[in-house]
Amino acid sequence: MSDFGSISRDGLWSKNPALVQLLGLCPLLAMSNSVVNSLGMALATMLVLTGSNTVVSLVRNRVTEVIRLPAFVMIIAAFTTCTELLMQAYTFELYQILGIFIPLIVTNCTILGRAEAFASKNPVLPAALDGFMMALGFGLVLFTLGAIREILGYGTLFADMDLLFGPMAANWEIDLLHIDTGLLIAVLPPGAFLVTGFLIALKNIIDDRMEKKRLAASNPLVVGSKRVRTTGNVS
Amino acid sequence: MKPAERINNLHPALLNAIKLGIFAIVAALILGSTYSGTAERIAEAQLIIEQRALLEVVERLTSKNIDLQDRIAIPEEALELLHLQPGQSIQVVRNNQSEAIAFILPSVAPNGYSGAIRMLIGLDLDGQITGIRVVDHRETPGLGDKVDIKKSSWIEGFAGKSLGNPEESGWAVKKDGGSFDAFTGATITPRAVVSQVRTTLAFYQQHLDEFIAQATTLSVEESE
Repeated sequence: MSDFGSISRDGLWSKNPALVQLLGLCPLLAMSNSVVNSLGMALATMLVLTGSNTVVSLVRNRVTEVIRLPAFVMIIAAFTTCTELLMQAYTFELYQILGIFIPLIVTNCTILGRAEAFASKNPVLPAALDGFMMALGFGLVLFTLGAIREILGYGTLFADMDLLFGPMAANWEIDLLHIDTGLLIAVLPPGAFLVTGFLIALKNIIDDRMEKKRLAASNPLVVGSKRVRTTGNVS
Repeated sequence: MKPAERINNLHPALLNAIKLGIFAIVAALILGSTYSGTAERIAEAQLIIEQRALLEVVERLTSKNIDLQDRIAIPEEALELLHLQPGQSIQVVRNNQSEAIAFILPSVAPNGYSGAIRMLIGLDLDGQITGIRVVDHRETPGLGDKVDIKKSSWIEGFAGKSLGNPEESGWAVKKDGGSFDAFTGATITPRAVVSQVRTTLAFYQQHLDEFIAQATTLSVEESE
């Protein structure tokens, strides 16, 4: 568990908070209707999750069983409020769009979940990496969802990126489909559920394929060959 | 007894309370310093957004050097009519001779599809609308959010309108027999906006003389 490779793999793929643990769905579904919203949400979550995991790990030997939860929630809430203030100061318009979902990061189960399940039992470095990788996994799903929904719903990609990256990003918008009215359902909540469902299905298909390959590789016996080898080296 | 032992002899509940208290104090300190570090920038960002909206609603005025320094209070009995919070005020727009040439009224349409729609309405001294901007709303993306200038130019259709233009019966969406377009699939949002704009116009017409008098007093006070 403490090996860095497997921490990264857990966060990005095998225990991905959005696709496997299905945690933090509220911001995931609500704020993924365009790439800029998704990225803003992902960055805010990343800041909070990495920060809270680090601090929780730092104080893990000081907090007793009784005050563990209130202490963790306080740490997470403090990080969330700091993030909120920073977003207000530096990306005010994006903050207005994300609105209530920034303070609601406190209630994102991924964050308390990782504090409880990982950071409170591991040293600082793995804990920080775990927070970062979990948030990255969450953010990549958010980004993919945002991109798919933006293309289907508005026919564009990377619209309004200047809200996050300043004036230099004002012309990043790519008009892909040249449509006036997109597929409205894609930007509405049902679209979020549908696209997320397809993403989870896709992940399961890939997992199945990989599992089959792995089995095939570890089981070189050809089906149908019933002869037992009795001589020679079995390597 | 050594200090460490004395701490360990404390009642566990007390010890926990102290620890939690220390956490709270540290968290409060961090929050406080972040707040004081960002407060100025946040205020600046808010001001920029507000100023931009203010300038946009009076864009049509011929005078380009406008002065947005003074604000006048909204009569208390009108707060309910315009659905405003106490403390919100009317922006006086002056030209470079510091004569009041327009006023910008905040107004809230309370009955949008997803709650209140906050607007800024610019009005000149003839009672004509110079411009309207929706500054805050939660309308459905792709449907009701076309009241937002970022999504559609619908809101610009109000410019130049006044209480008599169109006539009273025209102050409604086309679906209700009025002269304002509604959006495909979303009638509630434009209906709410049109009706609140009309209410605001009527209020403005009634109180215009008071506003002008107040604005003049303010400018006299300043020049003294």
